[in-house]
Amino acid sequence: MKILLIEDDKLLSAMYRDGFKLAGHSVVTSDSAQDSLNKLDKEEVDLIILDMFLPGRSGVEVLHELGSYADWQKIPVILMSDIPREDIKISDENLAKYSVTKLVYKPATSPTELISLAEGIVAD
Amino acid sequence: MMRITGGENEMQTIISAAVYDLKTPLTLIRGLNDLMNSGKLDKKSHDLYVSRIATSVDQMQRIIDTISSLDKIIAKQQSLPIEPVNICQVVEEVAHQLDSCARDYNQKLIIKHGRTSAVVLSNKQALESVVYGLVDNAIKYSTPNSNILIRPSLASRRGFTRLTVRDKTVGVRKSDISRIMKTLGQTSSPNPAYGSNSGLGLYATMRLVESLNGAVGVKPVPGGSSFFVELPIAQQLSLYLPKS
Repeated sequence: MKILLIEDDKLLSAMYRDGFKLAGHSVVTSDSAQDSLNKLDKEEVDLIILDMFLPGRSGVEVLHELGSYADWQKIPVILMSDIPREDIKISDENLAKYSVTKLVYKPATSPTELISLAEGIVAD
Repeated sequence: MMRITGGENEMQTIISAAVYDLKTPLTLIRGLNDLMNSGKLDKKSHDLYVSRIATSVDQMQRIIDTISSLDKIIAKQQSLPIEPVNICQVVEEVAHQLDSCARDYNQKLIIKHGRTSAVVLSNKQALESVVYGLVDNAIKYSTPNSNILIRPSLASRRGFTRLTVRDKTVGVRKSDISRIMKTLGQTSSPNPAYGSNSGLGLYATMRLVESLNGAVGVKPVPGGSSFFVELPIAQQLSLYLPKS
């Protein structure tokens, strides 16, 4: 499985990257909205893991961009957030529209859980 | 951006900011521990993770200490106990704590002692929070492969010691200065490598320094920003002479 990991915190990004690599997966990392879109232009990935809060253009803006291109619309997205689901004012319907298969609360999700989730989504 | 309106609201906003800031070190501790338990790490990665967990624990401890000090001065309206504190020693201790964090971002913390009075009238825990807040802010906002200069020296104001922390960032516009120090909320850092934070560190610095009868400020300098605090000297005779 090849993943695009979009996470702006350098240490968190390295931790998730290490976890996926240890599990035998390939990871492309990105730390901003624009950089992630540039990388998607060059790389084919099976899944996107996207941090909701990015500097400059947010993760939600990345979702809008992904929804604008047919090739990118098909890629499943795991959206990660520092705030719990009940405090995020986006409906499940809108998340589904943008191929968000799962929304995870970062502090309560270990790398092992995230990897299992990603493997399950790609296997489906 | 949240604006503070004083009293109870101020403390609520501070607690919300602290809760937000605790999440990243908590996520790191949980996640790194999870990977260490996988049994797949080599020794180098294992040692790196142990170091990052220790740094994250320090960060959490510092946030809790800061909240405790702010709670005393804001919610309980108490004065912090004032005692003679060696500012050079506090700088050394904080720099030691944050050194691995700076190295993670390929930055170097450089302490340059000017001729100064090392002993200030302060509160040790609050002063540690202040120095930690300034240096941590410099690490988060500086570009990779840069030096962060920490310099205790005599202030131009008679009877005060100045601590300057100079970073290498995209710089601070004058119009941003008062906003940075007076508002609290989630701000995106200008460098995409460093994520976002609540702004609590700088806000706490301002509040704590005020309560210690000191002054705090920031000015843009070529290639970055220079944050400074000035605190009253405890003993005129306690001159710190840098080693030659």
